[in-house]
Amino acid sequence: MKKILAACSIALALAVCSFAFWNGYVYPPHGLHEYSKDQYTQAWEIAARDFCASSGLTFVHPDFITFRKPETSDEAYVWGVARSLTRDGRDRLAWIYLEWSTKRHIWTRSYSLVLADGDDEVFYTPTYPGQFQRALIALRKIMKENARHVREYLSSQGQ
Amino acid sequence: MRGKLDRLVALGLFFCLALTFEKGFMKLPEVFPKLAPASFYRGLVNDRENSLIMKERHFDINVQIGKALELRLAEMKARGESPAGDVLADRERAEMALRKTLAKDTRNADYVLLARQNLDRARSLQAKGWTMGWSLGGPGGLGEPGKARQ
Repeated sequence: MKKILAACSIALALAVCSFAFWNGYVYPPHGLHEYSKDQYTQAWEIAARDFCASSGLTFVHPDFITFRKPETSDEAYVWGVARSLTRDGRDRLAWIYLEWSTKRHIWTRSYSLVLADGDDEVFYTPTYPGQFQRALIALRKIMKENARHVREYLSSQGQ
Repeated sequence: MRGKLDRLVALGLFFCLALTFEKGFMKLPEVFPKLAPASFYRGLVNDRENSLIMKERHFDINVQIGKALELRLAEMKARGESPAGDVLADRERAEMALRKTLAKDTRNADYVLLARQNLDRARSLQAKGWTMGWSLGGPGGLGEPGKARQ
């Protein structure tokens, strides 16, 4: 019994660690390795197209792209909004934000989401939804985002 | 044998203590700009540059959330949809969210302004070669109550 428990906990720890490693190290720069700091437009557009494709959206065009770089260090940031369409022709804005990794010297995906999506916190009011429902929505969003990462990774793997 | 190990451990502990002292000493605002001015000013300016960029980004995302909400409202109007109350993104809540975003825009614009002022201040400190001085009454110190600092 003890052995089974130990084996299960080791397997669980391994699964959690490898998933964290994949989400934090392998996935963020996936497909962006070849772009230098100044090629931020290309890197951003690839990230935007991959994000839209894996979210079931059609990428239309970038609304704007903002690039910022401090003078005193190696850091760099690029963010912007991609206009996209759902399958039934509704307009959606996707926020795509990349950071330059000062340690690895590559662009990494940092924070991307569909703005004002159906389950967005922006629609919350003080009384609705309730605390339990909020926790459920948050958990669902995390799992959805993880699944999207996997989809994005697998779909661009074949290209 | 025993004595040798003891001495080794003591030496290791002393090394750690010295390292801790050095780390803490270099964090003192009186010491850091005096002993490592280049690193101090670079850190100061870099910190505020990154803050400014962050505030700009936060301003941008809020504006864009507002635009996305306007899109959703226009879409509901154009398609004549009025989602039921148990759908999170219904018309009333979308309108409320839009007002909330517009209110936050003002505050975020202020934050950008403050961050820019902080950056300018850091750059002027760097240009002046500011140091804390060794006493509270010294140049750049807190000065005396009732008297404006130079």
